[in-house]
Amino acid sequence: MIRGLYTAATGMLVQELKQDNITNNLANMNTPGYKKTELAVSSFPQVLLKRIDAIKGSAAGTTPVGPLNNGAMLDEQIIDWAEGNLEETGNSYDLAINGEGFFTIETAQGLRYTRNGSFRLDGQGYLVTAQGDYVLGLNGPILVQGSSFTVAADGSLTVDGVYVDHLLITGFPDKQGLQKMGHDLYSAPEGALPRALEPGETAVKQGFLEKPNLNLVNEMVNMLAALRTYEANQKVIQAHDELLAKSANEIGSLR
Amino acid sequence: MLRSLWNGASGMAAHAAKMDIVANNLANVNTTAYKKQKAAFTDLLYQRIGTTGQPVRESSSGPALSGSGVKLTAVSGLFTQGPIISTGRELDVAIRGNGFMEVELPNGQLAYTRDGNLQVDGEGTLVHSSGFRLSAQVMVPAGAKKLVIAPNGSITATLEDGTREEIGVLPLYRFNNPGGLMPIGQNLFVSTEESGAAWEEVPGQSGMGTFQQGMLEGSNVNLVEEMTQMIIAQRAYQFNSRSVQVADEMWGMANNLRK
Repeated sequence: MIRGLYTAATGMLVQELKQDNITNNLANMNTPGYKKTELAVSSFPQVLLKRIDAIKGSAAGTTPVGPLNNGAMLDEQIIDWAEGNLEETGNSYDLAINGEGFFTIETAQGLRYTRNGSFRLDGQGYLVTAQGDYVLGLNGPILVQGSSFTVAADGSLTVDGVYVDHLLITGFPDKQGLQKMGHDLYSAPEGALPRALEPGETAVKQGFLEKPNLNLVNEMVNMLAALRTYEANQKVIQAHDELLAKSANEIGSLR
Repeated sequence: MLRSLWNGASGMAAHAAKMDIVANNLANVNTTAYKKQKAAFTDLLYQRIGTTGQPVRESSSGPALSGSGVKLTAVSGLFTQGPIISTGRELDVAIRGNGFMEVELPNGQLAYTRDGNLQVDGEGTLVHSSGFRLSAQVMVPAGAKKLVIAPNGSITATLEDGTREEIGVLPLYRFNNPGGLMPIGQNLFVSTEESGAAWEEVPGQSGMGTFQQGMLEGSNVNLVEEMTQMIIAQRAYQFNSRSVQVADEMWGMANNLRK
């Protein structure tokens, strides 16, 4: 019975984590290039419940009762890599990747990858992210000095009609280990095998931004489901509390 | 759960800021040479879950992370060309293409503008609509009948006796990143570290714009687009307020565990 209290408590804790995840998705419903995360919940490993026999000296000593679960736990976090819709902004420094790959960003902590192509120029004329980190081309940071900046679908950059560089679009054979670092950046784990995508493998669109791949209806439904599951687990704890109260106060009471 | 609350609150704050920006754009839909502003968002840092006694399995594919909401990263001006509107006024001048005019503020600081609604002050100097002098220091001779501002910025006055005289030249100024300019009101901008320093160019050369006399540049705000952005900001605000409500409800349930 007391075990049931802990089982229901894990249910509440897990739903809380789910809710944190959903609210983070909702908060980022207008963040360009945001990829929603989902949490997978699994049960704790099953254990075999046994009864210790009252009769001393019997051969087995215990009798199996059956398998038992001790509640739920957070199994894994999954980033949904589905592509978001492209939205036209008309700003020539807004770029979107239509297909595979990431923009490559040089930060103080090393190379990072992003799908948020909401770039701008810094005071020296380099193409940077909103945080001021350099966006990399095949030959390093991209210097834009001129009045018209165009990006072709193959990622080639032209300033006032003169070819400057190609955007470095990085692809991964397996995106599973990529981790969110905040500021829409992802870091790659050791052995992720990043590789520069060839023109033609993917397409860059200038004047567009990628919308987050959220489905708001789904998020709201998940939010309600998590809320009600949380409530159900709360009710279980309350029921346990009442049962415990009964056994503690009423069984064997003389009235 | 506290995190849900803050996530929702960060979403509400960011979208309220977006709403302010949209409202300011809408208010300036008829302001001469107004450049619309745009809000940019980014997600916040991620923290590893599982250090505080939550039921989390050590996963092979990296730790589960919990996000902490959204923030407004940058508000940048969008310096696209506004519509050129004919006014017929002699001292109205629009810039078609790149570039800014330079204005000297009373404290000696330089400001930049595309608002070409010029005036002549009591001393005969050409001033910006805010009353501040253009740094080109153009004196209009007393009794001048006609002023002609050429596309390349040279200003010619026809004097009382009918002779014509060049009285000054308006240069254009450009920036590496006009989006980083800081608006200070009265259609003026000052340079920042983001925008880089201004440098002078001759109008019509090396990608610079030209002057158009008798015209003004309108605001580049697109009403339909701003209304759409307003709806997006409002609904996003609502969704995030729902996050806060649900977090509150959950907290209430935890609070009522013991009846």
